[in-house]
Amino acid sequence: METKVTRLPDGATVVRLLGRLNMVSANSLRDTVDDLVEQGSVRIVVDLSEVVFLDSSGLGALIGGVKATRRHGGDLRIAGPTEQVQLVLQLTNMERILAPHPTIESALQHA
Amino acid sequence: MIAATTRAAVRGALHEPAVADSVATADSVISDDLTSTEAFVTMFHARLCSGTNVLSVVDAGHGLGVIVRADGSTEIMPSLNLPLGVLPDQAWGTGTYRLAVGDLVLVFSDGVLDLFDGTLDSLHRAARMAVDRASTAQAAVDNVTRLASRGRLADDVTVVAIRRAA
Repeated sequence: METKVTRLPDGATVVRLLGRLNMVSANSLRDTVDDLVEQGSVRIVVDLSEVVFLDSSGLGALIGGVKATRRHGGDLRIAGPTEQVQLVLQLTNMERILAPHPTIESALQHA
Repeated sequence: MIAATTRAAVRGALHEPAVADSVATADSVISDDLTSTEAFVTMFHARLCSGTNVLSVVDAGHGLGVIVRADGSTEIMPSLNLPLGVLPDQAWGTGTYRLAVGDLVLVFSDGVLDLFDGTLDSLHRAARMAVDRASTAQAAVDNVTRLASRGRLADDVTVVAIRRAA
């Protein structure tokens, strides 16, 4: 999995993931989010539009990110999930705490 | 390891009068450990009353339980809760389903979605193929096993089958 971190002028951060978010790559996402939170970047949007596969480990890393950012008064939002990712969120009811936004812009608006 | 711990916690809570109480107790036992490791557990937990033929289900973010009725129609048992370890003190919802003669209950692992196109339709399709010429729960499991062995799968497929015979 490839990770691209972009800091926006308003202080939010976009983490763009490319590839499969599974047991192998979940740790790298966890490290990325932990580093950002440590640096005070607690408004994070994870761009999932190019994540072709999400498993329970990847979902665990996203939920961990939600908890870590909220603990520091921020939030982690997700944008552009593919059909497979949406199905995982739907089956697990995780969309209740990790609502999918169609675009990065709409995720930022609600952040 | 997490699955074994969860199973032990559930077994330790089976004395509770209602299925939702068992899950609540099991959740209280393991949720701190799950939270601290940022892990979570999806669970399908059910009790079948042999006197009334009613299946009482608590589903914690699993969402892969389906009933194939005797007439061949498929009915998904939707998950009402989040997985264990995500939020403290969830209010556990119970779904109740009356099983008629010939009805088959199937509970899959998420590998079932990879058997077809990865959409929720995979669940209906797997359920329909499971009952194809199957008059017993064992025959339904055999059908799923055959289905899962025909190609190389990224994930395992597990299925539990319960059929009301009479």
